[in-house]
Amino acid sequence: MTRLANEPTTEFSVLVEQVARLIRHFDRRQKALLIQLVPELRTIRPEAADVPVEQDVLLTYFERKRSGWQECRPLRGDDPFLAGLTVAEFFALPEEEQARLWDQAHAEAWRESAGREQPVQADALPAR
Amino acid sequence: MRCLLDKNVARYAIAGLYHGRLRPLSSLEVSVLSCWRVAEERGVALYISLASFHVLQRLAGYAEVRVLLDSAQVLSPTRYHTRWTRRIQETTGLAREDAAMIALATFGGDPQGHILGVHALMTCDQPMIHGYRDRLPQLQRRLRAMAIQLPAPFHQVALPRLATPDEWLADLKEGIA
Repeated sequence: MTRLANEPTTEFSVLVEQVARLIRHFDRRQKALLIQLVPELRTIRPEAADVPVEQDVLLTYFERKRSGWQECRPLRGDDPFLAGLTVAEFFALPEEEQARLWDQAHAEAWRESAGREQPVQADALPAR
Repeated sequence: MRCLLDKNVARYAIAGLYHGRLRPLSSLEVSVLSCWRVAEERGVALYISLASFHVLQRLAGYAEVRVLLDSAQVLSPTRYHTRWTRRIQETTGLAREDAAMIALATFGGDPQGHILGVHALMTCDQPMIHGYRDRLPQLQRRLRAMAIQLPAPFHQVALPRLATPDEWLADLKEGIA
């Protein structure tokens, strides 16, 4: 079996390989039952195995935070994003082009809000 | 401690959250997300500009954007922001938008009017950082000269520290920031 990239420990990897061997012997009904019991398997892409462990920990922190927003959904490649581009199209652009479009959107937003002044209380806390 | 996130930091944060489960992230994406996490754990108040807020608000239906909007407050220009932007531009030669962002870190207020300015501006823009640091003594002199004539609380304004996410992360971990 192919070794998993960025596997946290050899012991862990051996365990996954043992489980995989067992699952390969399942028939389709048993595999479907497995997905019912572990529904998150459907949402995980195979490339996730290449994600470093530290990154996984970091992402878990933010996923916990965003789990509170039930009305929001994760970005998908075909979602509209910026400058008439979809998410996938935007992030496929070279870094300089992404920065240019992002800056352009901000420049427009600066112009729209130009001239507005936020009132400050006399006892406001300065950054000292 | 208060920290303003530059527009590019917001972009790397969203890119990191979007790509995080798909591929190994770039070092910059990891740094931005790590900084964000450590800042929250240390109780650092995070801010975004009003311009960033307007851009992100259009994307607020997406969880990756919403979590950023939920984590940061909005910092808006106060009185004297335009004047200080002009002086930063004259002194550093930076683009108007970069100067406006740095000026926001000094003359920016929250919606309640409770704060004036932030302690740090986190940016991935190296030319902006260098342009600022190269002229820091001159900027300090000009800000002192300007602030001394201003009413409270504007006479107490200070310049922010400009730092990359990596520099900021190092500061946070050492307990400096």
